[in-house]
Amino acid sequence: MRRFDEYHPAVLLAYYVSVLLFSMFTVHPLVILFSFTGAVSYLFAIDRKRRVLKDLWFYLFLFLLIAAANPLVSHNGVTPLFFLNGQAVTLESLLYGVVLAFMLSAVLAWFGSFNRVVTSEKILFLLGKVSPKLSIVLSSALRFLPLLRRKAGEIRSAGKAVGLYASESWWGRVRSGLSAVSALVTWSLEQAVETGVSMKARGFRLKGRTHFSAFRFSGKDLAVLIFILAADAIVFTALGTGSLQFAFYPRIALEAPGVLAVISLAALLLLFLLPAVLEIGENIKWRYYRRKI
Amino acid sequence: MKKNILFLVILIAVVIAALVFGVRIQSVEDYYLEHLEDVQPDSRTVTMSIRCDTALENREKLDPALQTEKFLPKDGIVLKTTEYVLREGDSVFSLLERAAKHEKIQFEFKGTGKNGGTAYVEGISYLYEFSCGPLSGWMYRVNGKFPGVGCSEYFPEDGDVIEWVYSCDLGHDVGDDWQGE
Repeated sequence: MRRFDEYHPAVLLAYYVSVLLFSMFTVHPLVILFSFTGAVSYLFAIDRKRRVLKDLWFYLFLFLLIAAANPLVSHNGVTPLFFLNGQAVTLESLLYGVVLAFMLSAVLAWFGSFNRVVTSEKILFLLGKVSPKLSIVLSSALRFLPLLRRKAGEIRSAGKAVGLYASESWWGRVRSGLSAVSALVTWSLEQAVETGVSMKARGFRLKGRTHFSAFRFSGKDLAVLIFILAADAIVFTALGTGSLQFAFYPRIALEAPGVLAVISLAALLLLFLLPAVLEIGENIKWRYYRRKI
Repeated sequence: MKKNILFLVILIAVVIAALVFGVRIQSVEDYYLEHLEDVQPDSRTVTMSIRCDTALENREKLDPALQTEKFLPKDGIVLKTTEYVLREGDSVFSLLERAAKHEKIQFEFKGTGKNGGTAYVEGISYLYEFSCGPLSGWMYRVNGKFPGVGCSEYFPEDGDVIEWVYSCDLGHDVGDDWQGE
């Protein structure tokens, strides 16, 4: 067993693509619930509790917004609760809004862990073979914003040290801010030019250069990849035959799921919980070994 | 800082005012409590019917959620031909709204349909636009002709025959040839 983020980048990519696809292209409430649970429990496993909770507060705001907005614009459904300006506000559209909100929170949470697990190094590794140009553009774009933010902080503190931002007046503060922005823009332009020159000096795009990577595709990677692909096959079959279809309008279809639906729901549950299980299992193992020392 | 608080207070006040004056909340019973005038010998009337035969003819294209008999009437008649008393300023839309309330037929529209606002009928009796293929939706005929204006813009006259029909082919299958061939 390894931590989830230590698997081969191709495995991670396959995992995130399938998880995001399944979360976005079905409105089956159980699938969405599984996806949300998996995404949030993995976030809790890899990050400090307080930071995850802070993120979840933001999700809660979005959640309420979407859950409340759907019944205001969609009036289909057999169970009107009350009428708003001559249009029905129905139980079905309210529940549909809640499921959509869960879906969006789940996708956001998956992207939250994606940013931490699939680092730009791994993206570079995956894309470098296909298109070096694209990978260089992507990696500099991904790096640009955090870099800019850090530099802006540096310029701000340097400015404070020499007496900018001291003025009480509104206009004075704007002028200090503008001078900082001007310094930042100059710096980033210069940095872009320097990057280009430096890459040229190191022989970027010369023929006959090989690619070094620290990632190896091992048997464990293969095992997890086969698991992911098997789950994909089951779920795509279920989606193709309509077994995972779920209708909210006009009436919420509460039918007993068929055999294929049950199998694919089980596969989806395992798939969504995979990262959290690997991470938590590894943590338990780590604690156990430490106790033995 | 004080300016921000003032701005916030004004914003909240505007929102509350909009909620109080712009929002009308009715209970389900209140909404369906629609009074209709009795037809007198001298009253101006129109007849109206709502039919969805084309959706039944194209069952293979119909939304799976609507396939059960519960939602689509077997004979295609959502509202049988009924006589309604014409009120001052009645549009086809306001007649539909009144009839739907009285018969407790679910329907959804976009727009206001009142005070000069326009309205577009999205669905009647759980059968919506696009429920039966990408070219489907509700249309209305007056005396056998499709007027080609929004239903809140057409003001029927005494004796008019209004028919709401569901089309699965932009009107071709219900006799509208506005596009030519």
